[in-house]
Amino acid sequence: MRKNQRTTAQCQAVGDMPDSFVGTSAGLSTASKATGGVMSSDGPGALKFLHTTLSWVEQLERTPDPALDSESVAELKVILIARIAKLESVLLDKNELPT
Amino acid sequence: MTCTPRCNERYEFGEFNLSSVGCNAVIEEWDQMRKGLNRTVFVVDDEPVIASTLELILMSQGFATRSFVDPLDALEAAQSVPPHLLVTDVVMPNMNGIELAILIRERCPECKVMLSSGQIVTSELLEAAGLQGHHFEILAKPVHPKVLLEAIERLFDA
Repeated sequence: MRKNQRTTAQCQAVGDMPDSFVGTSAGLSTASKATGGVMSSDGPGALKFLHTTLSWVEQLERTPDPALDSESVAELKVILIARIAKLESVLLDKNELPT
Repeated sequence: MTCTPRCNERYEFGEFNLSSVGCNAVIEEWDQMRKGLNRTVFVVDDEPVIASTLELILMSQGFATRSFVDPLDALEAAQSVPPHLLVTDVVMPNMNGIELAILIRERCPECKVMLSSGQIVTSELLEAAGLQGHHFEILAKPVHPKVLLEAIERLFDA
């Protein structure tokens, strides 16, 4: 998460956003649980995207962005690794795993 | 529907100039807000893991983000929460991303649009939209997060 973020209450005051909209660590976790499931409709392109994103996150780990806290970067990395493993399994079952 | 982005007028102070009174910390904080948290982003992709991962990336940058796998759901949600930015795949069931962008823009003229596609048919759709006066920026799939974030920053700075 970016540092110096507004609190949920402040965000809601600004935009009347539900909690799940808000880019807090809790919000990130909520989003990952609510919509993070790998589905059978995800294809090899999605796997490539996940790997690209993981590379980006690992780059952030090596050269941290001062505006991002390391905890969120680590959390994002864990989510990505789990999604990659799950999607690889799904694609393997469908014989669509890229070689 | 009247589209009134509720968060992007936060620099309006009338005649009051923050920098003149030395409130650099406040300005910095508001710059931070301008980058993300005060902006609503809709992400639409029919591949759920792409939609939800883009959502996470944008949330990590402070954007108030919602992801959708069905463009019709995004269109419906835009009625109640007009997005400041739409990030959408192009080739999808029910409605393509260009049609979605045009419909959301009709309701929210200020909404920025970023398309992403890995399919050749997209160029024909873009050309057809261009002939009708609709011009959109497009990124090639798979979108690199850094490229996406830079493109979004350009859109908001434009």
